[in-house]
Amino acid sequence: MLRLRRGSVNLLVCMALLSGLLTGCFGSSNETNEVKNSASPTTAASNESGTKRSLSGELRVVTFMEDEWGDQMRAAIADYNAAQPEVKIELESMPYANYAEALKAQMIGGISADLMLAEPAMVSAFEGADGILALDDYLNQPNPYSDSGKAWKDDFISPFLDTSRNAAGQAKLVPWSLVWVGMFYNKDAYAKAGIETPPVTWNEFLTASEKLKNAGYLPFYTAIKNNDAQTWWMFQTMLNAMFRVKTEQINLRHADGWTYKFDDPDSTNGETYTVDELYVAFKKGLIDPAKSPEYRKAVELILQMKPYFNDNLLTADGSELLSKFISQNAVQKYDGTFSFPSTDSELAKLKDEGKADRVFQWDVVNFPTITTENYEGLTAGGLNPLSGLRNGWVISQKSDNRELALDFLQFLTSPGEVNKLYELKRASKDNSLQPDASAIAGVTYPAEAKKVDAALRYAEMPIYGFGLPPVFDTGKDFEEFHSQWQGLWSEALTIDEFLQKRSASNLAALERNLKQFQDQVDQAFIDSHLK
Amino acid sequence: MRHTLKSVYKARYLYLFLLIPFAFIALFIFYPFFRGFQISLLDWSGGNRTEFVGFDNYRELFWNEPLLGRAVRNILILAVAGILQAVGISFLMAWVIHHIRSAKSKYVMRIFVIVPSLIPAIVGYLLWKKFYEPEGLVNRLLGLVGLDFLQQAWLGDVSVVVTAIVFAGFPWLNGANTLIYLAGFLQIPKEMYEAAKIDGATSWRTLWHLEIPMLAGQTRILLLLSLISLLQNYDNVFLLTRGGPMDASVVPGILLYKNAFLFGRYGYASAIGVSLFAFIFILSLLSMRLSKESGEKVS
Amino acid sequence: MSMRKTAEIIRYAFVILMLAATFYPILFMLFTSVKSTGSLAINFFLPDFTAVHFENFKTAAPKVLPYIGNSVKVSLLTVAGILFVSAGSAYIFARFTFPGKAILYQLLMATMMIPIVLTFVPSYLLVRDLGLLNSHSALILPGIAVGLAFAMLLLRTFFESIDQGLIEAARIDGAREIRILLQLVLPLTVPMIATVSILSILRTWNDFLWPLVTISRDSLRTLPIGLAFLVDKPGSNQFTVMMAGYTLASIPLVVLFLFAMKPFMDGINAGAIKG
Repeated sequence: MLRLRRGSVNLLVCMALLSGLLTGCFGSSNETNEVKNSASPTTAASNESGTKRSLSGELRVVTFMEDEWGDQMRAAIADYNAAQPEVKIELESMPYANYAEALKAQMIGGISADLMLAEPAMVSAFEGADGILALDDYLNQPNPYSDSGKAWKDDFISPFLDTSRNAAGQAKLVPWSLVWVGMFYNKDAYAKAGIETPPVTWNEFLTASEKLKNAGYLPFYTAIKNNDAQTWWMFQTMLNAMFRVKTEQINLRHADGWTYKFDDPDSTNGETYTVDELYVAFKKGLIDPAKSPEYRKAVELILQMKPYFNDNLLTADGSELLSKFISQNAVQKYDGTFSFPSTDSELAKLKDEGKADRVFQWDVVNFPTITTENYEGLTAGGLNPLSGLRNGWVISQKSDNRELALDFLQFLTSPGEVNKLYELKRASKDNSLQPDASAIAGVTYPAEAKKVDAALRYAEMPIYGFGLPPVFDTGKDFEEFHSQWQGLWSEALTIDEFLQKRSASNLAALERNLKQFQDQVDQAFIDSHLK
Repeated sequence: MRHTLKSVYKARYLYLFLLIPFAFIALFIFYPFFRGFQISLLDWSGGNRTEFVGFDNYRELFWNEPLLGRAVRNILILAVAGILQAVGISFLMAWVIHHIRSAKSKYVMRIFVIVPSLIPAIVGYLLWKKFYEPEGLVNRLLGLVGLDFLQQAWLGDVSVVVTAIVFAGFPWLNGANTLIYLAGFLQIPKEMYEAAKIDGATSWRTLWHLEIPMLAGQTRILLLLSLISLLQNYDNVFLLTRGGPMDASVVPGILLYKNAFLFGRYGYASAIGVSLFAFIFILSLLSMRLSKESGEKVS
Repeated sequence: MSMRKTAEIIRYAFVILMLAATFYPILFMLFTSVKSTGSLAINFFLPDFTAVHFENFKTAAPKVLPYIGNSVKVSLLTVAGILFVSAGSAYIFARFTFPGKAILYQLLMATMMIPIVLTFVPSYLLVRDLGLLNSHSALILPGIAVGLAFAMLLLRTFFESIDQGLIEAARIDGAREIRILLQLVLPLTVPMIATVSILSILRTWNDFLWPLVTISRDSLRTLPIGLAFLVDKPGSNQFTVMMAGYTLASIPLVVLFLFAMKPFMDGINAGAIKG
């Protein structure tokens, strides 16, 4: 009852025939069963470096970042048309609100744009609709528009491509911008409370918050709700640090001769956890909230923050975060580089309004890390700086213009073009000092930009999605997490009850993932390890 | 049977005319509804894989859904309160305005009554979210009048959140309903008012024995319409609490929305939708039956 | 003071209090639309006349103004469609009996009981299959279908309540049914039609998710989508700009409404004299 349009069936047949002819000598390097999801890649052979074909047709591109990237995208389109004059590109813009839901509905209807900007958390929703293409075959080949000579995937700063692979290990999201998340603090308040240097360890953080509280400030404003990520960020980064020692136990399928070296961040390049590995690890109790001592410890540690949070945790709202910080109602916050411009501009506005006495100095540091003082098992290093992929590009599965989308995307993410776009950003008024860092390597940034210490210190393979609470999908597990998290913080749930419920939700989500990716899941592997 | 056939023949042009609206409805409402029903028999996430599961979704909904009981209870509370607000307050307002002497004032009031409906409702909900904050207006007012013991986290406390939602939107003036009632009041012939005055009726008696019965028709409609829309409604709950805290304020509409748009479980969500429809249908039948009986009693 | 006067004063007081409380959100919207985020955090509820930021409107305008025309067009066409289709049918239901009348009417009322989220995806697929995507017909045609039951309910009740005597007299005089409808009944229904129009417009005006999904061409988009562009993304707080946007978005409705009020009022006066 859900039938493909006749047009797209014909196209698929043609592409399949064509691919049969063209890809004779080219084998698929990834063991993905991509054939089940899409027609064989037709352009793979032609994307060998040096051969740029002349393309024609129409392409639709959609983003939710018109204000941040609109002008640059238009410039990129103009540049692309210099190389490919026969391709007409239409740039559409959609609001960020309900972006994922709307695009997903459009994917179901088969009318979504061909190339779409997306956040990592949106990918699993799109996958449910079988809406986006796996791009590994293309990523393993060189990008014809890039001068680096490397495979396309190597033009990106690692490990951000790997961390955005889906549960089956496929890459469906091509990285675009990065975000670094750190602790903003009010320098004036710190001075008044007698804190000389910003805290580096968790214990220092608690001490500093105590001092702030005694000086009459609210150390932290947070909402235990789905629109305030601060507490999940703390939680997930702690869990990641604690689970690092188990990496080799979880990553059962890996490249030959690979071992885990915690202080070499590059050592995990190319490695990723797939859903079957995670399922096995869960069933063995390694990452099960109800059975893992690390998980419980992380919960206990975070709850130590409670005295320094606002009282109305359940009624507070994430949208208040910036205004609370600006009005000095909260003097620390855990936020991303994307709020640098707005924090500065709001303070500037206060100054213009003649309220200069309310303006304050602020700075950012990495979020204070737990140490072996807090948990002895923390032998693979403390918290990594929380940096990751902010957004990337996906290509529609049902698109008739895959070739074009791919070609334009390769052009867009070629280091030369990206550098040019960042130059343009610098020239534009509002974004000059702090654009989102690019996920493409080799981009230069303005000297005046605020320096952040974003480089990963320890090798880490994320178990959960970047920037999310410890959940295995962005649907039901995510919603259940909020409910349970609220229960925990309002003491309606004891720690044990929380862990039990979390465990049940996680398991259900993993099982749903197994079902969804049943074509890629290796049941024999699971059975053999769970005997 | 022959009699019926004869009537059908006599009314043939009527049917033809009625074909137009029913064609619209059949195409754009009934057909999607039946498709929705079909989907409720499947396990479908929007992708290529669909699996026929019969009534499993319904089984899961009525047997295994932990939030179902709460959702039904909450929506009944909100619906009853909402009807009192949507119908009762508007009637009151229309009655007061109707009896104002100056036609000019009435004209102005009529305009002012509907203007608030012209701005996006979300502004009102956002405000009430703020009012309900621990340091917000509601608690401060309670403190001022000495009712300190009532101060609490209205939207953050599982035991009061539904009550808080009920009272949000005070004074619950529904401009549209007020206008409908006003139009109805204007239809009451002046002679009847004269007659009542000659009989020496006070304004309360006039209200009870003349005005309310004369407006029974409007009341019945507004009651039905309010009931139908309140039972499906979830906008206000979603904006105020998103179903929280800890799913305490969940209503069927939210269950439906979350399962469809956030979890992508279209089959299960459709089962919720069909069940919700049945629920609304039954309750509206009941309410129509009840209001007809009480209408007959009054006259 | 006479009893009458006291009663009158109480009435005025009641109405004014009710209206004042109901109007606060509008005032809040206006006050906030010219604040900055900083001053909003300091003073949320009351106006801040010292720091007026009209540039909020400049930021909001490009996200709102281009879409007003589309919203007006879609809403007007939808309401016109609803009235056109429902007026005659409502009259038929009100004045005639025929086999199956109750069932048909029940079917009609049942359309209001179907939750929109249930039919969202199937309707979407239907509209796609009909080739209506990315056109205003995708908004108007389903919009008419959805609004029919409501309009017919109101109009039927209204038609039923019209004094039979007058119509009987006209019938006796030999006037044909059509003439009765057009020259006698219709003028009486103007206030009701105005009411139904306003209410139907309100229902279609704020629809967000459906237009978002069915229309991707920016030139065809409606107002709520434009407003959605003003909603906060992580890292930005443009609540004040959003309020400016809502203010701008309310203006067309107020204007439309003021236009509809005139025939409403004229109709009222005519009706009042008759009654």
